[in-house]
Amino acid sequence: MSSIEHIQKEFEEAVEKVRKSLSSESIQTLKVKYLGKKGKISGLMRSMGSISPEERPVFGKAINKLRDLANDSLQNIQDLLQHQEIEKSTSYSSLDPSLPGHRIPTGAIHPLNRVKEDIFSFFTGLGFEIERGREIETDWYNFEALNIPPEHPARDMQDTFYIDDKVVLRTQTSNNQIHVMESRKPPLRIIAPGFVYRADSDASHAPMFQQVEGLVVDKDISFAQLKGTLYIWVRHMFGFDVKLRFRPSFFPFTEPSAEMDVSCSLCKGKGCRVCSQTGWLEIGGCGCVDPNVFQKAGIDAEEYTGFAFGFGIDRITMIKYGIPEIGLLTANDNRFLRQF
Amino acid sequence: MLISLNWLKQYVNINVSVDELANTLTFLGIEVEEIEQQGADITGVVAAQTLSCEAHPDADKLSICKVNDGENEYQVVCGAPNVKSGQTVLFAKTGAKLTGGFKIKKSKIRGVPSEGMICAEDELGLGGSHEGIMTLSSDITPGTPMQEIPGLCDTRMELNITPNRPDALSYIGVAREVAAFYDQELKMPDLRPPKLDAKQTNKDTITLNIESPEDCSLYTGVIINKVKVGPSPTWLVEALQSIGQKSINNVVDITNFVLLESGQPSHAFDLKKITGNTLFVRRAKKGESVLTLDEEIKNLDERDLVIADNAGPACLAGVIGGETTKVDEKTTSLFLEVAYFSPPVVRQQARRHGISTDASYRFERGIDPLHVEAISNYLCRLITDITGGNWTGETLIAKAPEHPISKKLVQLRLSRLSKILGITIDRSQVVAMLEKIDIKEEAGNDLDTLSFTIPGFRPDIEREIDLIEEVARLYNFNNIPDQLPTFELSPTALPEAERLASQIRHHLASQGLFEALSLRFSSHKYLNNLNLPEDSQLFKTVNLKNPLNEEWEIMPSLLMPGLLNAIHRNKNNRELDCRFFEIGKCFYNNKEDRTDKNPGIIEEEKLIIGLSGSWHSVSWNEKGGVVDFYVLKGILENLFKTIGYPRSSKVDFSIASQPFLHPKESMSVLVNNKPIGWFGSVHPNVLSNFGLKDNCYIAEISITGLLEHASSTPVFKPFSNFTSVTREMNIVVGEGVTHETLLSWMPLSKAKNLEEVKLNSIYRGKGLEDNTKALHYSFVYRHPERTLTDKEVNKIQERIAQELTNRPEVSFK
Ligand SMILES: [Zn+2]
Repeated sequence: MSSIEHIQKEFEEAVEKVRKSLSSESIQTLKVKYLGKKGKISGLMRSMGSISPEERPVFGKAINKLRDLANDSLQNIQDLLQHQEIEKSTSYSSLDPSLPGHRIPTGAIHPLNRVKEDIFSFFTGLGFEIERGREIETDWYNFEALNIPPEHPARDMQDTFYIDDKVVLRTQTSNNQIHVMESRKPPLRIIAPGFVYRADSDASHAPMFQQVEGLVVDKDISFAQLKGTLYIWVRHMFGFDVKLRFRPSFFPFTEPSAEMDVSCSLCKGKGCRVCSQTGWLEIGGCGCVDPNVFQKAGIDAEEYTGFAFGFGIDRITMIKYGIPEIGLLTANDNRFLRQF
Repeated sequence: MLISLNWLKQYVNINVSVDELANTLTFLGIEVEEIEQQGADITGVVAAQTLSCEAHPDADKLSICKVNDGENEYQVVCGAPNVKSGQTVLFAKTGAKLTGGFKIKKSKIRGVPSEGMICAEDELGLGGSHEGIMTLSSDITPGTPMQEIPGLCDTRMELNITPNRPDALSYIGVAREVAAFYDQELKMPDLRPPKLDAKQTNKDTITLNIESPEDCSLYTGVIINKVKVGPSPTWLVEALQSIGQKSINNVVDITNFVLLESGQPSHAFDLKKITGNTLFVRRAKKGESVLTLDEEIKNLDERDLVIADNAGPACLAGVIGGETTKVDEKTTSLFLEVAYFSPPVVRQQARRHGISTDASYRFERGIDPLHVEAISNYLCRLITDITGGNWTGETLIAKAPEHPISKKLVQLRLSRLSKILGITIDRSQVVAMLEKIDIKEEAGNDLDTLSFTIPGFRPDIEREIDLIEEVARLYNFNNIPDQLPTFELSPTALPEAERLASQIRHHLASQGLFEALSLRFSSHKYLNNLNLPEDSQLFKTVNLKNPLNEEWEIMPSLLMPGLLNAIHRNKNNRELDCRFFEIGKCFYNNKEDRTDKNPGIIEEEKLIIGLSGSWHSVSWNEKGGVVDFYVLKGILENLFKTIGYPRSSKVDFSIASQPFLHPKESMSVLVNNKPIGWFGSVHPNVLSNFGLKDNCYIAEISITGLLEHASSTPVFKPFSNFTSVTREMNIVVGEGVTHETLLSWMPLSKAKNLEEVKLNSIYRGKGLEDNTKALHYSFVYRHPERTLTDKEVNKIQERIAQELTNRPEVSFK
């Protein structure tokens, strides 16, 4: 018995020593010395033969206990060593959560195009086709075919840039309506995005801005469906609690014509600076396709009806991101672009 | 159109708040853009009574008054000549705020303490007069705030009237809509002609001759003698003043008043100044001219419609009167014109001569053709009443057969109404709604089709769809339910150009670039900055006829100037690191294709990339990398890989110069041997022309050009699971030998199992001769089915080395 107690004591002292200066070598040495094939604990096992049969079970139990204890102690300092090594394996003595990380440079998509792509995915998901038209247009497509004859006062509604008497920078994306209706047969479901131009420039008007035009032509298309379609779209764009309202207006190529307002998402309709205290933001115009437009495009206005809508992507982007001035969108200022 | 609420109330009772009225008008299609309430910015001004009024001991023109505001008595020094005791006045107490933020303080005036101010109308923003204090009716209770005194503070509304609603361009028109909505009576002025003086003897007359009936289908006139031209009565001055118009004289003021009230323009001639006894409504002859009331000579031609006497044109019809027949203080006899001019004619000449008047604005949109004679009667009566003149008793009328004499009939099918609106509205409701705005149902309709007579003041209603719109407007769009269309399912995809643009956009943003977006306007000034040869195609730009300014006079033929300007602006803001890309359009003339339906202009979509400054952002333990030529080339290579071009289409780079790029740092990009773009370092001269100091790197790639070549999606190639064997080689060559040339000297096609040759570094300098460089390559070998042995790899490497040794240009390091 005393030999077991002796070895146990000796082992425990050795473990303490190794614990103070941990290394994988000293642990290994210890392991070999006590638990190796020729180790001291294994030696005790071998000495079983010289023990009387009566004492043998007690002696055997005591050795097993010592072996388990040794195994545990060694595992313990092994874990300790591993833990110390992990702690050491860093180039930082301590971390500073407030230090910025090293960042791979990232860029950004222009907010206007983010909104544009969002609009595309929404409407393509509904089965609309994207149509891209030209920006410099003949008088025919920009005005006449849209029911705006040369001496119509509606021409005053838009300040037009002219290239010559018969060629203009398009003032609206509605020119696409005509191109599409001339080249295809109904049913039509079209989204036509693009830049449009107005000879006007101040804090809320840019001489160039982006519009999206929608056109649906089929046998039973109604104003009620126009309202429903726009309603699901504004909910997609501005959230489920948005409200939409329609005011009578005038566009030569639609009748009835309406302006649409959404409830101000910043003040939830209570009134703020952005919505000029009205609680509403004007986002675009819409209406049923005027029979004259169908006629000019060669579509039977008795058989087919349709609706069209157009809104400024700039305006929607400004509302969505709280951008106060339209000029910021085209200033190409890092301090602006970085924020998106 | 600016209107005064007080004035509007002359024609209809309004019992709702200003905000509610504005909302109602807006939802009737008459958008209220702005509301301006008088007295809104004023506080502390109340009605008060003057109790006494004594002369100031030390000043002739000042009085010392005692006033009572219903609670207290105050002593006030007042300088107005018309102040008296017993008046009800507007009193600003100490602490009151007047118009323009002016604050009333306790003060001493010539030694006498003054505790406030008795106000004149200009101090309260109620008018322009500063001649004396305002006095009110004595039945107003002292202490009443000025904003609550009935009729004192007016409200002005700016209305946005759409071109289809000429009827709303008048007080009566707006009142009609309000009356219909609130079920109120429309109070029309008395339109009867004046009573005739029995002693009327003057039989002056003018012959009216419409020579151009398609331009003017009705021309009427009355002659009024013994007119006294002079100041207008107060009510008339105030009415005009309420919307910011100046009083001129009684005759002119009356015509202006009636125009605003009814929407019908008119014009008064001095009868004695008319040469001869005939007025002609005719087209002008080339070479004729007229001196108009804006004191300008207008040169006329056959396109102009004029009112002419025997001496020639006297007026630009429907637009502006002439100086020669102008009414002034000496005028005693008038010829008063009320007519119907054709909208396009008036619009053309107003535009051609660059003037828009209240008259031309209404004629171009269409006035009520059925009301011309009634307005003539009404005007005649107002003028005789106010100026004391005598009407001859005769209304001169020239009418073309084309002139409408009765209301139009327009049909409406209820089935069509519900098809367009998506809602069924009762026949009786349709009829009732329209009747309120004077659109009346005719007898003899069948079950579906209804006929309506359209009043003359609604020239915009001509078709069934116009009536449907009226019904929808009166029903209120917001009461129409929301429905969704039912469609056949059909898959859609983005158009190629849009898909590619989106892919480029997402890729470059992930590479650290910011998407720019520039106005698509440019200037020759910028093209001149680009070292371009004089005959460069880029100078043949698409030019704007009416640019907003010189900087925006052309449509861009190159995107680079816009981006260089953007980089310049950013650098000025101490934003030194610029990494931009933009997808935009360039415009080129292509006049051969020009037709009525084709503008003859090519629109080419392009991608531009512009870099300057640091590439990697500087961090606290690493330095930023500065942009250079090969950074830009790397961006392009990555881009082409992402968008799928180097696979089925070949992409090459070749040394090629552009006038605006550095001659030693510029390349062309070729897809299937066709150039589609260029890139490089911006030429130092161009940099300085744009005010830039730091190097800039620009690439321009035609997206339209790219789309002509097929791209492809990646196709999986099996790879080996066995380890690779790598060998390295340091090769020294002269500067003239390109990487590509060097590779071509190696027998790589014979190198079995060679997976990749990587260029690790290029070394120049110490240990090397001048004009030479050392290229360090790694050769990676891998077998698909087993591990390669050193021996077989070495054999191949030796062969490569051997071939290179045979080249006199090559040595090893
Ligand atoms: Zn708001």
